[in-house]
Amino acid sequence: MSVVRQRVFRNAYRDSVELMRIAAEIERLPGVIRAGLVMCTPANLAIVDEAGLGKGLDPGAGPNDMVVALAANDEAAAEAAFERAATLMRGAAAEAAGEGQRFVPTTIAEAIAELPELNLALISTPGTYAAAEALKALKRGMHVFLFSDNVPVEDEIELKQLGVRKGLLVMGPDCGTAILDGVPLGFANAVRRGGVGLVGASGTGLQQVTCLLEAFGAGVSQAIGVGGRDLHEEVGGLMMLAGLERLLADAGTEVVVLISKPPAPSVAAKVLAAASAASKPVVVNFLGGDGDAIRAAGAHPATTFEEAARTAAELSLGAPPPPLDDDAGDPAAWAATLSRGQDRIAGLYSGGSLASEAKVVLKGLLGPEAAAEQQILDLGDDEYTVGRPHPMIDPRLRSEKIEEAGGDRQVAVILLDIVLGYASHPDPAGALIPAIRAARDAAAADGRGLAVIASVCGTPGDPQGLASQSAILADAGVHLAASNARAAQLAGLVAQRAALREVPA
Amino acid sequence: MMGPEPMVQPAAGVFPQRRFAATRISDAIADQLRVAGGEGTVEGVHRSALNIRLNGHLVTVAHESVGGLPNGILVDPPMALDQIGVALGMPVQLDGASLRVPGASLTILLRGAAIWSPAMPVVHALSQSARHERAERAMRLAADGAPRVGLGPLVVGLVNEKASVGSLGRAAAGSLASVVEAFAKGSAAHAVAAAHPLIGLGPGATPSGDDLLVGLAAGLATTNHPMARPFAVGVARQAARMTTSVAESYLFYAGRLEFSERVHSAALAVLTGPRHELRAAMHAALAWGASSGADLMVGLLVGIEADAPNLVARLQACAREKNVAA
Repeated sequence: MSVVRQRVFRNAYRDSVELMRIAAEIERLPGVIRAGLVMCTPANLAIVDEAGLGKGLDPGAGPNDMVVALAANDEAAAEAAFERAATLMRGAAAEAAGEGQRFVPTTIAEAIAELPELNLALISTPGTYAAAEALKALKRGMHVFLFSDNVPVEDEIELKQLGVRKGLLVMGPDCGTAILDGVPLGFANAVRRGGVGLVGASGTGLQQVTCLLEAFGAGVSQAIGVGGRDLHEEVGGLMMLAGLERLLADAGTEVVVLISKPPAPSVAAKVLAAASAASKPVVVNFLGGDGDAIRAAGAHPATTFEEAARTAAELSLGAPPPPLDDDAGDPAAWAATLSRGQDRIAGLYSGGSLASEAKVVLKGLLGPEAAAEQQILDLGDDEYTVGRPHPMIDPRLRSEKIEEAGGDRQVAVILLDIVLGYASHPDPAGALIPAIRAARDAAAADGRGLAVIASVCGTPGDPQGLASQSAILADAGVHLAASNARAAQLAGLVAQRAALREVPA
Repeated sequence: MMGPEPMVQPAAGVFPQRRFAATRISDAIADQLRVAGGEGTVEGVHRSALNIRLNGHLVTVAHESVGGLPNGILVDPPMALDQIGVALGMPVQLDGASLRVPGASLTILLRGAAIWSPAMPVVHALSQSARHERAERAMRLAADGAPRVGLGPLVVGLVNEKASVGSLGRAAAGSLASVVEAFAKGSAAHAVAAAHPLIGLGPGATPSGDDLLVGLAAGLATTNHPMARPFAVGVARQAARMTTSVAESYLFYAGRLEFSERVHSAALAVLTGPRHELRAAMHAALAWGASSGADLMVGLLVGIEADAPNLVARLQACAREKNVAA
């Protein structure tokens, strides 16, 4: 029998983003069914009551108090949740360090005054202020990792032009990942150091290639994110060119990999011209781009992230890398379990570049028309994240979509990416299992089969653990492919066979 | 305007002696601060602001970068205000010339500060159609950069009927539609009653519903809407002990048609500012707090457009949406 409990924190103020984050984390704790954190205003308490979480609330709680209200399986789970909430509200820094007087700089100037040797600023302010902060950092001789989005393109151009003049990198805006001198920034994976240097205008694309390099036995010297607009006409590939130049001069880099969606033609020409003059081998993956032009520039074209990683690993290691440990699956057998009209793929992605890669793979396999009929969603896109954190952090929206797909009589395959690494959800696979089971159960109750195919973008060193995350998925009957391209290919084969086969009426 | 006084050398205490000169003081509280012998307590300590209950009223000592506040004393110290040793519950003393927090060895010198007026400027010059057109443009630009928390989704929903506004957005849109309907009927009492569910509604230190109501009052005030004063006064009266003390304070001053400098700037950017600067102004406004900017902007723009013929229908559509994505 479940219990409903509340704990009131007197005179405790937190902003709404922090309250949402804490509530989401509390809801993920074992034994917690639902949780909410609000200020105890009458209007909010009415909502708490309506949600069935108000029974027994301290009547002395007032508008300046905050309440953690939750339903849990038992008292112990509720108590553990309250303790966690209290810890989270005390603040992550104090929790980690057990100290309250640690120096926390409030401006770039303060930070430099304290640590004059600083040479990189990671900026994650609202977009409106980000350019000004980036400008301050550049003027002080610091490289910039600009995680913020909503930075006007005019500001991006100005910042990158200044970066070029000063010989500094401007990674972003909207830059999700980088690994510099072995230090991961943003969403990044734990990979070994090695001879492959990467520049990418593609967040999860960079993550996928670095993880596959790890799987192939190669390592990463530097991975430089440049933001998704860098290869647009207006920006002109300023940072991809600057990154390439740096990697060519970097003694630790033997092979360079360039990753992007298809660039503007003039920018592609500039990048390929630079690649053709390179003193080191260059692998180029412009998703769905022109392989002949890349080959003509003397570079190595790669149509998928896996191919980019494999080619770079071979060039770096001097020998073909070992094959990836993979089970090819049995598309024909899966197709045989499907019902009439059940021939669609529901690709529910947390990584935008991985979703784009899946579309390219499916287009190559199924042809443009059939590929366009497949539902490949980037759930990290703004369209799907109104009111929610990114699905690499918060799995709830994706879980809802998985359950919806289970109820859709046209869906034959659910295709997923599971992105591990720093800053990602602590248990992305485990968080999706209830929804995967529910989708499967719904299909089975309706007499339909349902294939669930996934790839895990991660490494054994990632905080979540590649092996344990893979095991969680395999235990739930999810077919695991060794790369996103393979997962998409396999899903396409199932859909193709389902569309072609004859099924009894 | 005076700059801050330099810090003096640390004394032999827990905290160094710090003396800052106030740069600006709201004229809504200037008289209150000139009274010697006042006493108070620290109620809130934040990076950019200290909230002090002084003789029963909430006074905010804020960093100059926050801009003028109706209950504000602005300072410009070279550090965050939560790093100077002030803690919740510390006693505060007022002697007419300075505000002191002895427990943190902090003195804020009040004399010489500029006096700033929080009274909302009224824009008379625009025709109704020009006013609506400007507000709609601002709404579209705000929707581009709206946060995904608070009433950010409602900003998006008001310009894109396919967008989900979430449960908070639906609740707010429903109440707001009733408020605007009551304006059209000329009934301030009904408008205040319809606004009641918004008081204290939503997460955060200043709940979204309160920010929305402050913005709405500001939008009405700056367009000289006949409902501005009776509506704002009625809401302020209802807000007593119904929301957080900070939000209650903002609603109290809204009842006097007094607002923060940021609200002034946003309203003037919408109604009189150069069109090419509007996007930047909207994005700056949306960046206030976690969701306060978006919450205020919904109210402000609805207030500016309160007499637009299709506004109620749009709000009702948002309130009815079936796509419960958030």
